[in-house]
Amino acid sequence: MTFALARLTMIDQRIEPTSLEPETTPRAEGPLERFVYDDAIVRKFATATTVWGAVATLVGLWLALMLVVPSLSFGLPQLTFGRLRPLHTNAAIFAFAGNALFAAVYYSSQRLLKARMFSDKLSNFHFWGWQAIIVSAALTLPFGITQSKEYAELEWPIDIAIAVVWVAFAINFFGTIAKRRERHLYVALWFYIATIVTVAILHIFNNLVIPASLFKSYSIYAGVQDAFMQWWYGHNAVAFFLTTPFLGLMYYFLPKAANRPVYSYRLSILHFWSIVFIYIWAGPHHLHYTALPEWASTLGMLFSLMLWMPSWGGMINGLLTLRGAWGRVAEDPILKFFIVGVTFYGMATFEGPLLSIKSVNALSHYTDWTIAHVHAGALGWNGFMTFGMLYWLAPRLFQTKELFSRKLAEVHFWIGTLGILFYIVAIYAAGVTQGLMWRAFDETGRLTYPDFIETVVRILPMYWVRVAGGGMYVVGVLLCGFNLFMTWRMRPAEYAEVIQEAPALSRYSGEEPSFVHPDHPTMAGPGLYLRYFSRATWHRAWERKPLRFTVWVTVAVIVASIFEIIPTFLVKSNVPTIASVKPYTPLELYGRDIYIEEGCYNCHSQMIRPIRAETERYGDYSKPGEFVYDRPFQWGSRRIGPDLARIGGKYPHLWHVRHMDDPKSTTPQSIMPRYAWLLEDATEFERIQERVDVMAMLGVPYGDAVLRAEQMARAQSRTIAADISSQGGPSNLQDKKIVALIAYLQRMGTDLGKLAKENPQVARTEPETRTP
Amino acid sequence: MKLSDVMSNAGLAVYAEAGLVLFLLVFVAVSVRLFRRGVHEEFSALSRLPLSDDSPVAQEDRA
Repeated sequence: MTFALARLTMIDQRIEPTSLEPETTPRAEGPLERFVYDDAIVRKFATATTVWGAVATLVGLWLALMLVVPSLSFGLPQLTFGRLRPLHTNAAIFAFAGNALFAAVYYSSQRLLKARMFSDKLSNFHFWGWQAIIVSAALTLPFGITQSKEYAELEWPIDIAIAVVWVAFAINFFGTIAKRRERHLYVALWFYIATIVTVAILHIFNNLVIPASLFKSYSIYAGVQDAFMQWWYGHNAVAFFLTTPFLGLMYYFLPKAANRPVYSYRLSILHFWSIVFIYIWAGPHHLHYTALPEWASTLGMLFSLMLWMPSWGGMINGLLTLRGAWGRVAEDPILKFFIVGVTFYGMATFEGPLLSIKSVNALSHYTDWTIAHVHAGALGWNGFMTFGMLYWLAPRLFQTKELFSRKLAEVHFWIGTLGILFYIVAIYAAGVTQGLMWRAFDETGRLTYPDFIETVVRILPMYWVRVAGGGMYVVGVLLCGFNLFMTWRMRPAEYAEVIQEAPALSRYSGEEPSFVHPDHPTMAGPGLYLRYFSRATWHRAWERKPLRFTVWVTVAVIVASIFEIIPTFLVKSNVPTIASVKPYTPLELYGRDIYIEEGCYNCHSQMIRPIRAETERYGDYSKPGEFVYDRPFQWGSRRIGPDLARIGGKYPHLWHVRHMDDPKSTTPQSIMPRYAWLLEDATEFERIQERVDVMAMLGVPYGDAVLRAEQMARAQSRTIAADISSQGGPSNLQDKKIVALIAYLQRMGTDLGKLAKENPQVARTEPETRTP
Repeated sequence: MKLSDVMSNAGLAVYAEAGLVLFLLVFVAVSVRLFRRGVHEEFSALSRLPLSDDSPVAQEDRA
């Protein structure tokens, strides 16, 4: 790292600013140098992209099927929706899109910088390290090893591995910049720089946890703050893992495929800076009407709306790159993929700000609308840009004259496009339908659909259409894999190593950008600053100085994050304490961990918004002070089943036993899978103490429980089991997991009610918990 | 006194709004710089960077 930075600094000093003339090749060149690009690493990443693309979409299809045929989990814990959904999202984002963006970075950076990657060893470490991380994700998530924060589910040992591999990638990338032979950094490279820097920051801060064991940890943030960090991360993971690197991909591969430069380079600069400056603020729009302070979510909404402009600027820039080449679109499947991909970028980034408007969000949030939105982005934008790139790369990487079959690529394009449309149209309809049903009141002022299950049954036909659409998309992905495999088989016996030639960078001799007027050296004033600013030189000078450029991107990201995060963490009035909210008992804590392991948050929220339709259906709205012991928070983002924030005390213990054993026994039309093993698996009482200790270490006032958590848990377990037995249920449950889970479920949301009992006056005037 | 006490009394209500204005200004500044006259030629040369690298197949395409 030091070495790479040192080299960066050297270059930084060597290159001086600057003149007004464009210069794409350095003039005062150094000696001519010969080098070879490393395409083997690009082949590896491209292959991994194809394989993981198939895995991610197949798991997605399986999940879509399970929502209509819940028995497809076969009673196995590893196959439930709650455990597999994180596998699907992680595979799609980090395995499929991740490998695709690495292929793009490794191919285009070498060429744009006219240099082989800094270190082949680091390239290979990056590749194999990343695949190992993906495999470990696939081996932990189905077994309930999870942090339960969306797209950051992987437990702490894997998180550390991710950080190490990412640093290796960063050294390799910046090292390549340091030894580049092209002075100017093309805009695609800026997008890559922003990606590398920001993802590192996001990953580290959202995954700060204290381990309780090798596979279990607790977040250092609690409740509202944890939610805030998570969606700062979640939103910006979309921005800097699924958007910026793919924009880099677009700005490189689209001009290549169209064989003409990007429509407007200055639009691309504007696009870049506005995304870096604005995107990072928008995260709180994932938490509208929740217990998050209102100013934060309003800020998130405003910045989201501001994103409309740069996003559409980017889309238009991509589409107009094809000016004068539209005729070729008809015959070229690669251009078709790019055009539809960029169009979906425009659609998804139009919809994102729309969904961030509070009144729209009140309807859309927790429904399938969000699911449709992300699939338009993932399948349309990320998927199609990737396929376009892969088809363009294949003959070049495998050194064949042509793709095995353009026709097959054409078929892939059409079946994929139709698949996306079937998928999203059906799921938009499902989302809006269910959202409207949730908020419908009849003429007497009561909920029209008080039974949640009614709103589920109504949208099941749309779920079948999703299965069909998703199935078509999967077929397309498999066709792509086949096509690339056949292209690979046409490769030469040995890959030719094409020798490139370019002059080394040398001292730059150009005009200094200066505050001093050349003719009047003593003159000063704002006019000169304006002159300096309006000259083309300063930004270009920056672009030649990767170190400084990187620093500024980092500053922009960090400043925005700090502006946003600090008030939530440190201003006390944002999370007023509620006296009656007490820590979970040791058994409840363990039960909560079961809730996390099973991924209940994937289908159930724990957040009642202050909206009449919700308080009517679920009870009093959620207050920020209720979550101060929730590590991690479990607010959820989708209600496939009803909200559980006030489930405590709503049903007898026995109801929960029956419901977990077979949900259809209590709700005949339920689409929840069976959780029968919870009635058989034993509670690991001996593991409870270590968890309580970590919570105590994090500042939870556990008092006595620090010394005798296990005994306390056993005692509470006996009491609940006795109740179940006396209600006519099975009598052998006292050391079973189901009892711990019931302990947690029955506690949930009940602390607020205790306040009313203890002090009715306080309860009535219970403060407006939102800051104005 | 804890850090959170200091922060709570520091009057940070305008903090977020200040950030909003600040970032808006940067955005305007970048826009002004980009859309003045005379940068077009410069940028048109820079935008050709991806087309000037040498991947063998690409050359054949162009031929």
